[in-house]
Amino acid sequence: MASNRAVLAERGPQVSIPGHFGNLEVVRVDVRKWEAEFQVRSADGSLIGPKFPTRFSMIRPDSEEDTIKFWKMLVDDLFRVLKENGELPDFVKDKEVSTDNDSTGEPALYVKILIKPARGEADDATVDRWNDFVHLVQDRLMRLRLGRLPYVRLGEWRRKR
Amino acid sequence: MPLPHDLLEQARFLAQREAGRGRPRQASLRRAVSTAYYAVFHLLSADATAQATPEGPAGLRERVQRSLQHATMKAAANAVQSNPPHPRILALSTGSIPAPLVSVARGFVRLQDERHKADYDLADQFDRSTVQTLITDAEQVFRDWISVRNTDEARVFLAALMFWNLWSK
Repeated sequence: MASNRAVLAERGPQVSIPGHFGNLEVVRVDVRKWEAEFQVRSADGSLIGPKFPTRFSMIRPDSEEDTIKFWKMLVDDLFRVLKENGELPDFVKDKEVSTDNDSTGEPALYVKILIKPARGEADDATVDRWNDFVHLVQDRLMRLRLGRLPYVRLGEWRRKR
Repeated sequence: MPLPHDLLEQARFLAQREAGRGRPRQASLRRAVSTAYYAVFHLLSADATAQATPEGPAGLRERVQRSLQHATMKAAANAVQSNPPHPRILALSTGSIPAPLVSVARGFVRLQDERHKADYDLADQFDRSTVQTLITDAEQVFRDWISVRNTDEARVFLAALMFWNLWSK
């Protein structure tokens, strides 16, 4: 697990770069390599020190790396790969990413795929296509062996007013 | 028709209410999601109980079925849908986990969490498209279960639904 403790021996003002205390921040996520890179952001806002490559499976819930920015970058990267592979259907309009505990209290990652709704009730073939994509994203997330249990949800996309 | 099938039919009926009259009522959509989950829950819990309990005396199976816990069942389903599946599942399997069984496990987990939102989370609005996909998923679970229920892996899954939280002992 990446930790700024390699740079910061203990929490407090004293760090390897005098006068700075940093927070660990995700700087890169690569779903093809199953890893992310983290760096320390100093008090003046700059990124300092070495980058810590970390396997997704080592990013535990409520650890320093477990930030919503990391999860959004992970899902963005997954969708980028899906698009590159021609697996991102036209009906997908947007997505929302959030973290929470699921109904049994386990740490969860929620990905809500916003789709263009059908007029009235959708036909079976359309519903099947929606479900196929939900299952595809779910399976890809499961393969990444994440510290949070992924849930892929569907929602109707509404034009923002 | 057995209860699980009746519930599934009821879920479909609820999801189709208020058709063509603007947005459907949240009450109809939420009850549809909840009913779809319980259709799958009763489908699997009836088979799990039948596998673990003799037919008599009268009332024994119903009593055992009543003791099944949603959280344990979800944990077992997660162990099956994980990639790779949990080692305790693999240790009892003669081969790889059949794809329809993974589909059943994935559908169960998805429906259980959506059912929780439908019943308790008023901040989350349900829409007809979402509910249609969930009911279709429940129907797929029924079809997949019929195709896979007589395999060794399905028997392991049924036992795990009942005892997963005790399997580390």
